[in-house]
Formats: sequence, C-alpha cells, structure tokens
Amino acid sequence: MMKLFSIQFGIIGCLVASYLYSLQRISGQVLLLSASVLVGVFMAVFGQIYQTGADAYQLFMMWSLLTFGWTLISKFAPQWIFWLVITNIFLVLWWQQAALPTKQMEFMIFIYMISLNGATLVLCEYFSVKKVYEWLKAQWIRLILTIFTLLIMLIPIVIWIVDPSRATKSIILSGVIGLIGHGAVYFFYRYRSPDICSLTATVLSCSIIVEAVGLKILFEMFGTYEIVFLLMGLITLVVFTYAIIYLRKITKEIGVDHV
Amino acid sequence: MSKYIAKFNAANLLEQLSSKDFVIDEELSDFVINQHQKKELPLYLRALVVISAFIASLCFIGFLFATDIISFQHNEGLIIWGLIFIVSAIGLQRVAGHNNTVKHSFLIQASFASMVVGKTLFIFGIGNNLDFRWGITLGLLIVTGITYHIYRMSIDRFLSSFALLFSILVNIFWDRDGSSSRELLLNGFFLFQFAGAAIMLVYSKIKCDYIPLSYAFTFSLCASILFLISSAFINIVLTCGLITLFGWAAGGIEKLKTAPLLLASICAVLLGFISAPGILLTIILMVLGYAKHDKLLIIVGALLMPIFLFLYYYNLDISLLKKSGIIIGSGVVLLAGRFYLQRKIWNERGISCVQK
Repeated sequence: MMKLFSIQFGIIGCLVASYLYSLQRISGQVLLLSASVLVGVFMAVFGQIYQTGADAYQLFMMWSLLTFGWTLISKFAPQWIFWLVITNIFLVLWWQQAALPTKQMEFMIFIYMISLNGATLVLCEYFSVKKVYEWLKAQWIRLILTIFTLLIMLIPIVIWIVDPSRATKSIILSGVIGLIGHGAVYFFYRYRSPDICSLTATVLSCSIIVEAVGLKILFEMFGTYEIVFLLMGLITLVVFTYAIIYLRKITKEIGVDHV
Repeated sequence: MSKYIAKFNAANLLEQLSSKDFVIDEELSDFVINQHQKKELPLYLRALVVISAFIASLCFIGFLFATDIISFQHNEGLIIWGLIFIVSAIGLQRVAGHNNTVKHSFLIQASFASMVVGKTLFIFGIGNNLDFRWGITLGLLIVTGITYHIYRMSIDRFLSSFALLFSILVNIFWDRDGSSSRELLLNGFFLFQFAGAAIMLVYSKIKCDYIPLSYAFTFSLCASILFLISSAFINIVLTCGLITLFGWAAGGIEKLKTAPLLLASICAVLLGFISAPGILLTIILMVLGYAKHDKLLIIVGALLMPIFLFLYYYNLDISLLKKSGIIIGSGVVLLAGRFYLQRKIWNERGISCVQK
C-alpha cells in the first residue's frame, strides 16, 4: 500500500504544483509531464501488486486515456510527443493481443498508425501555419513527427516492392497510402512550408524506396549475388549523389542557415 | 534554453562588425562566407553521406566476398585489398576537387564508401593475422594514424577516432587475464580521454582539423560511462573537472568564490559523493556546450541526462519505497536551488535598479 501511496502522492503533488506554477510556464508544464509518467508507473505497480492479469495493451490504453485530458490543455510539445508514444504502443499491442487480425489484414495496423501520426502532423502544421499555438513552431517537433510518420509509411512500401507475390490486400493498401503520404509530405515541405530537415528525411525515405526497387529489378534480371551487390553499390552512390545535389540546390533556393 | 544561446555565423558576425563602423568590404565579406561554407556539408547532408557510404560499402564488401576475391581465411588478401581501397579513396577525393558539381558529389561519396570498405578489410585482416583482441585496436590505430591528415573528411576522422577509442575501452574491459590491473587501466584510460577532450574543447588554439577528434573523445567518454565503468576515481575526476569548468566558463577560477558558483560547486561535490558519474558528465557537456555555443554538446548532454538519471535510480540497491523517497528528496533539493537562484536574481536586479 505504501508503494501505491508514494506514487499517488507524486501524481497529486505534480498536478497541484503544476496548477500553482501555471501551465504558461515551463516548470508547470514539466510537472504535468512528470504526472503523466507517474500515471504509467502507478498502473504498472498496481498490476504487479494485485496481479490483475490484464494485457499490456490495457495498461497503455488506460495510460493514454487518463493523460489525454491534461495533454489537451498542456500547450507543451514534449507532453504531446509522450502521449503519442504511449498511444502508438497501445495500438501495436492491441493489434497483437486483442484484435488478432487474419493474414490478409495483418498490415492494417500501419494504416491506423499512419492515420494517427499523419493527423497529428497535419494538425501540428495547421496550427503552426495559422499561428494559433506558438509552442508548435519548434522545428524538432515537426522533424520527429515527420521522421516517425515517414518510417511507418516506408515499411509496407518496401515489403510490397521486395516481395510483391506475397503482398496481401492490407500490404498493398498501406503501401499505396504510404506512397501518397510521401508525395504529400514532399509537396508540403518543398512548396507550402519549406523545411530543409523534413525535406531531407523525405528524400532519404524516397531514396530507400528507389534502392528497394533497384534491388528487386536487379535480382529479377541477374539472379546472382555477385552482380547484384556490385550494381547495388553503384546505384546507391548514384541515388544518394542525386539526393545530395538536389537538396543542396533547394538549400540555396530557400536560403537556410548552415546547420 | 535556445533563447539564451547566441547564434553565430560568418554572415552575422560580418554584419555586426560593419554596423560598428569596421571596414568590411564586399570582396572580403564574400571570401569569408565562401570559406566558411565550403569547408563542410551541412549536418543533414553529412547524415545522408554516412548512410549512403554505409549501404554502398556493405554492397561492395558483399561483392568481394561473393566473388571470392577476398575471404576470411586469407588475411594477407584482406590487408592488401584494404590498402588498395584506402589508396583509391584518397585518390578519388583528390580527383573530386572542390567544385559543387555532380561529379564532385559522386566522387566524394564513392571515396568515402571506398574508405569504409578499405578500413574494414584492413582492420579485420590485421586483427585476424595477429590473432588477439588488441589486433583490431592496433589495426585501427595504424589506419587512423595514417589517414587522419591525408584524408580530410570530418565524418571519417570522427568515426575512425571514436572506433579506436571504443575498441581500447572494450579490450580493457573484457581483459580477463589482467583482471587485477583492469581497474587501474580503466581509470587511466578514462583520465586520458577526459584530459584529451578537455584540452581540445577548451583550448582555443587547437586546429580545426582536430575538432572531429575532440568529439570522438567526448562521445567515447559518454560510451565509457553509459556502458561500462564507474569508480571513485572517475567521480573525483568528473567532480574536479566540473568545478574547474564552472570557473573557466565564468571567466576565471577566482569567480568560484561567488555565492551561486560556490553553491553549484557544492552540488557537484555532492553528486560526486553519491557516485553519479553519468549525471556529472552530462552537466559538464551542457555547461561546456553553453559556454562554447556548441549546440551538439548541449543536445548530447540533454539527451543523455534522462538516461543517466534513470540508470542511476534503477541501479540503486534499495527498496522501491526508499527510491521514491530519494527521488522526492532530489526534487526538493533542486526546487530549493531554483528558489535560491531566483531570489538571488531578484536581489541583484533590485540593487542595480537602486544604483541607477
């Protein structure tokens, strides 16, 4: 009981202190984030003491639900990123432990995750462009969200390209959405709101897709490792050279600092 | 924190100088800015070069093995092919020149990929040939020593130097034969790295060629603490280092007598006393980064801080309840420090207002 009490004391202490400091200040926001972490700690310890036998996804689901309210009013990017991490873990665990999809539907999880993270990225950009929330302007938030969303979109595309004969409906659907998503991200960071770091992440992801296509074509053409390895090495150099030249050109065009 | 860090670049500095009536003509300004920009690619493009070289080198090594040109049974072959690739990498870099053309970019990438292949083959060749763990370290030492000044690419310099330092650390740590002298060696190696990093990062007249080496020392120090070592000696070195750094950053050792720095020094001693080398190291990185306007050091320090905090509390050999008590106590101490500093600032502002 003392263990639970100490954590509860921590949660309430953090929330009260956060209220006293106010959410306009970094100290209040950090205290709110600490309370979010402690909610998870509390549920883990509670599960251990009472042996509830609950699946791991339930812990993350409750963690995500319980912290969502104060995340909404937090005006603090790390709090949102933390909530997003918990929610993504919940989605993955729920898919594995409760949804139990068929082989055909296995990759639908990527569509759900693309939707969740893509929507977050879109909202983040929308509020940032509209200058509604100043705290969303920091470049690192955009970069983290972009990299994570691109990564989720990249996985089904690469699987689809490398082994199309085994591509199920869910792989094809998530792959198509991934390709459209890549195009949208590229268009936005190239023309609408130029950002060289996010664009670099997009170009890197596109280069990996091109590499996967090259690998597939070479294996179909030659079928032997020797030539495929040699040509893939050269293709890699060509693809990335073009990517670097292209990014240098854009860097000059949009006149970013020498990062 | 970024609002407290001044952002410097060549263009800004020249603009400021000309605004203060220094004579900066356009030709000189263009020359300085061009020199500043030509030295290295931006960080995000360097990341692409590294990824490209990594994939390409894996493909080339795969090709060499698949065609039986090299094999792990023929060490001489590994060494010779390694040297051929290293020489060709240097040649490609020379041929590439300095123009920002497609040819230049392609040759630079091919050169770096070739260097990665060459070094990998050479190191494995030497390591297998000598047939002992220190063989790889020796191979790294030889190849890094030879190429450091000839092959002017900061990524390669950093990665080679870091690999060398890390291999020394791993070898000392897993040296089962000399377990009695192991702690002595680890402490000695830690001191060497600490002194190397301190001199290179603090002394202003170090050539910029050695910046990658200074980062290699810094990252190797982080790796040492993160994965492997902790001892009373290391705590003492880091505590003394942090207090000296406070003095250096404040503008002189005599400044340590002022109340805020005295308090900070006492906290540093306390951290050393409770044996938290990781936390001390991250504070050193952040203070140093702040003093030198070096974002990379601040980011590394800030990212490692939660990891070291977690590891510190996780490794405490006490019950969960006592750990909770310690965390609450730490929070109270930090809040007390914050209140003190805030009060101090208000007092000083009040005094300066009265003086005005």
